[in-house]
Amino acid sequence: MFFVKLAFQNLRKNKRAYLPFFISMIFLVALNTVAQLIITNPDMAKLPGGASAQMMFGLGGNIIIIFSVIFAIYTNSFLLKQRQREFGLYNVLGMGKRELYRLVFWENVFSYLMSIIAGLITGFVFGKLSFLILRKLLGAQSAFGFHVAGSVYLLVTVMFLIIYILLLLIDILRIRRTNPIELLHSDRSGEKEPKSRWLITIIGLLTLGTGYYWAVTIKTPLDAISLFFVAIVLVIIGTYCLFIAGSVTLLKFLKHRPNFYYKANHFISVSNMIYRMKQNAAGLASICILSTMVLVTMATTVSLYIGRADTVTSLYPYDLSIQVNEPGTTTSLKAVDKAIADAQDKYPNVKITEKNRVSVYEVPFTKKAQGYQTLDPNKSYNADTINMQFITTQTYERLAKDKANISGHQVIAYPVRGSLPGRHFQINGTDLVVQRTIHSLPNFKQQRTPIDMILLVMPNQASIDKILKAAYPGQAASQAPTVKTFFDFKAPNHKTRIAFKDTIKKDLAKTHTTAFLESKDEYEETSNYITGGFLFLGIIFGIAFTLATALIIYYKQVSEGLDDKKRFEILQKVGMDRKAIKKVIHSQIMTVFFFPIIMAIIHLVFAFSFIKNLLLVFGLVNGDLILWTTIATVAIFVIIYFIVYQLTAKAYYKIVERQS
Amino acid sequence: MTALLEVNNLKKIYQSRRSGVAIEALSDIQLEVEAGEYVAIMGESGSGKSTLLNILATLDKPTSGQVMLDGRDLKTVSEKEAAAFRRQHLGFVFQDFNLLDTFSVKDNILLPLVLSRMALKEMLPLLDQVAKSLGIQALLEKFPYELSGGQQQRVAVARAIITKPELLLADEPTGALDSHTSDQLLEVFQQINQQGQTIVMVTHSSIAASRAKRVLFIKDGLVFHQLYRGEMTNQQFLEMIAETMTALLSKED
Repeated sequence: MFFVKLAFQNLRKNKRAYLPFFISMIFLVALNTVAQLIITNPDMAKLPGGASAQMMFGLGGNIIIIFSVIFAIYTNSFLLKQRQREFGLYNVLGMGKRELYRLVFWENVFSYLMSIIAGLITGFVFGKLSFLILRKLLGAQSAFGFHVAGSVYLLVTVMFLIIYILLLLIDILRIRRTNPIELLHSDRSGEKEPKSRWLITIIGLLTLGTGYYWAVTIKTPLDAISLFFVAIVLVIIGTYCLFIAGSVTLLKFLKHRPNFYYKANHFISVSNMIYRMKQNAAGLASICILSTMVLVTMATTVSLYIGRADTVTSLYPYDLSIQVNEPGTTTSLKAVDKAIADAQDKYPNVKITEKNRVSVYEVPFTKKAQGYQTLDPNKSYNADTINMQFITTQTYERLAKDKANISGHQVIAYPVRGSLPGRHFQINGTDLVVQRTIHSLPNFKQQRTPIDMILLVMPNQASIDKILKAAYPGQAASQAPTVKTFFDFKAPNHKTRIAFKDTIKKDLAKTHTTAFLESKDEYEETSNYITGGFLFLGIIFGIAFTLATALIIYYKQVSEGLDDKKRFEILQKVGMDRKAIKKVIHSQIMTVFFFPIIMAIIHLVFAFSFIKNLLLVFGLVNGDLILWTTIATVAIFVIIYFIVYQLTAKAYYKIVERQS
Repeated sequence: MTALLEVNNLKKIYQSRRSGVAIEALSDIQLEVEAGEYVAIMGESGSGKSTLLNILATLDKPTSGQVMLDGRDLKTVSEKEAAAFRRQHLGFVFQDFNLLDTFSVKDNILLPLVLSRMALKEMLPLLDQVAKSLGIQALLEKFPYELSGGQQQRVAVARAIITKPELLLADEPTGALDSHTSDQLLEVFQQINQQGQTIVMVTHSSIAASRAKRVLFIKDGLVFHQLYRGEMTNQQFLEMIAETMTALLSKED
């Protein structure tokens, strides 16, 4: 009972040291609660495209968990450093290590209970609040609701129980390793000069390099998500290694260059930075990782939101497209024509334009060294998958109003996405020669897909049949063409537009054909949900990560201020004027400030190809838009970072300049 | 011959910010130090000796009165110049050494020279010379936390005299040392004084003071008394200082 009381008193009396720790822990609990609430929200899966969204945010959730563990250890070490003297005092006053363990145990129990309760409540309130905003953002009819799953609370509670046990073990280990005199003087003992650690530096360079290489070489969006996770982990490891060991190694290297080192402006900075990096490398690396996450999340979601009109156009080149894919299509095509004609009778003021009908053969292939081979139907699409569209010269001449002039093995190639292996290639062993390459096909606008796609104009029907027979031996259904009927239409108002589209859709449904209708308007509606939802989630993650960044910067400034105070006092006595000291302080602060954000921007540059690939999955092909959104995101983030930094730097100056 | 250091009617009053009570640390100090002298200023804690030293060091400003160093009134040294002035004309040795823990011994000693933007070529011979005269050549690559108190204080002395200052100010230099290392340090002081270095040392240790050529006693912000060594040995001078101290203390009662 005595220890319970003492532990409770300690928490109350050490408010100044404990408060930032509590705030951080409550923040972490709340962050995880909100993240898990978002990930486990059953409505997410119901949204079109929700599965990939859930996967993406699941990924984010895992990153948050990893981050929580690191951040908890970080804040705890900060707390521990401040409290070591207190432990030493207890020890001197006759409290054995066993008793100290008990004290620390009870302190952790209280700390856990308080932060988990406050964190879960905060998480619930913020979750609820954010979903209300989201609902507003998506419109009232949105199916996106707030669901409270008990399992989320259980998960977070257990997760933090494990984290607290880890912290307790760290505390105990730390107390065990030190003797009372050391504990008492721990904040005064001289620190050993950090050593250059080449091994860790090299590991850092290798992991970072590999991570970057993978991030850049990702070719297909479908590979992007899984491979990118590995790349992220590598980059995180690389960042921590380089910040912790690489920075010291570099500074030591500079220090061993006497002509550089013994200059008034380098002398103090270099030697101070060595210690500063040793103490703060982990914090700076965390800032860097968090900043990168904010930048990637915001750049992605904002691009998606801004580019949603582009997305719709690239995924739906025509307002309405009806596909029929069956052997002997005439009956179905008649039904399609009738449905369109009926709708036009009903809505005479709707004007149809660009109407056309194209018969095309679509086959997925796998890329091989010499050419292409039919995709194994049991395998899923991957980076080597390519969709081929075959049309005849007749179709081509009708659409392009241009003579095809090809025969035998000759083809006209239109690489919609991706490129051809060369002028000569094989499809299932059939040799083909590219007579010419075209980059657009009038009257048959192509959909932008995440998968490579090539359209080939074949000399005649027989040459197409030959390929199809080789691709699908004995499967008549698979050898049938897809007949696409597509058009744009103008209606006097939105209501008529929707009614017109619905009429055709209902009509077709009644005919029981294989006709499959794709409506731009329908997609636009769901797309608004997805992009709005994503933007919202991006903002939540962005705010969370930015807050975490702010907290770390605060910690860093305070801890550094206390350490540097005495150093600058001595410098002043030895004959350094205030202006020079201010300059040194300023340059150090700026280095520490710019280092993580510059690294974060470099990370972002390497992640850019991933971002582009990922957005391609959602049909956003406008590279310029993504680029400018990313640049704007960086600019805004740097400004926010700078403001946070300025505020905390003030706290630092206050500590350092006191009395002097 | 004019004195190197001249202090006239020096007065320092501290105004407590909270209560507004004025505390008079120095009431009327009058002293002169010739070039090449070794002066010890003695007094109990609270006698104002540290305040005096801080003013001499341009770390603090007097309320009234005048301090002249080498013919220059310290009042005319602006805040901006003060740091450079300290670097060029004064050397400091503090009770708690005040070495920078982030620097090696070598870098700690070179610090004032680097701040004066001296070229590395010129610094190294000076470093050699100082290190040799203080017997710390073997310690140059070590870090302060690896050294004993006596060694740290020697490094601090080296840092103070490497700029060849006109005046070396020492604030309780033996305060954190045991008697043996104190002795060694005082030996060093005497030795550099014989080489021509002017020293002003503030202390409350009679033993430390007995090594100086002249001892000033400060009490209640006034110079109370002074003793000259003349031809006395350290031991004789110590006994005389001790007697004076006893006399001064008992007079109070």
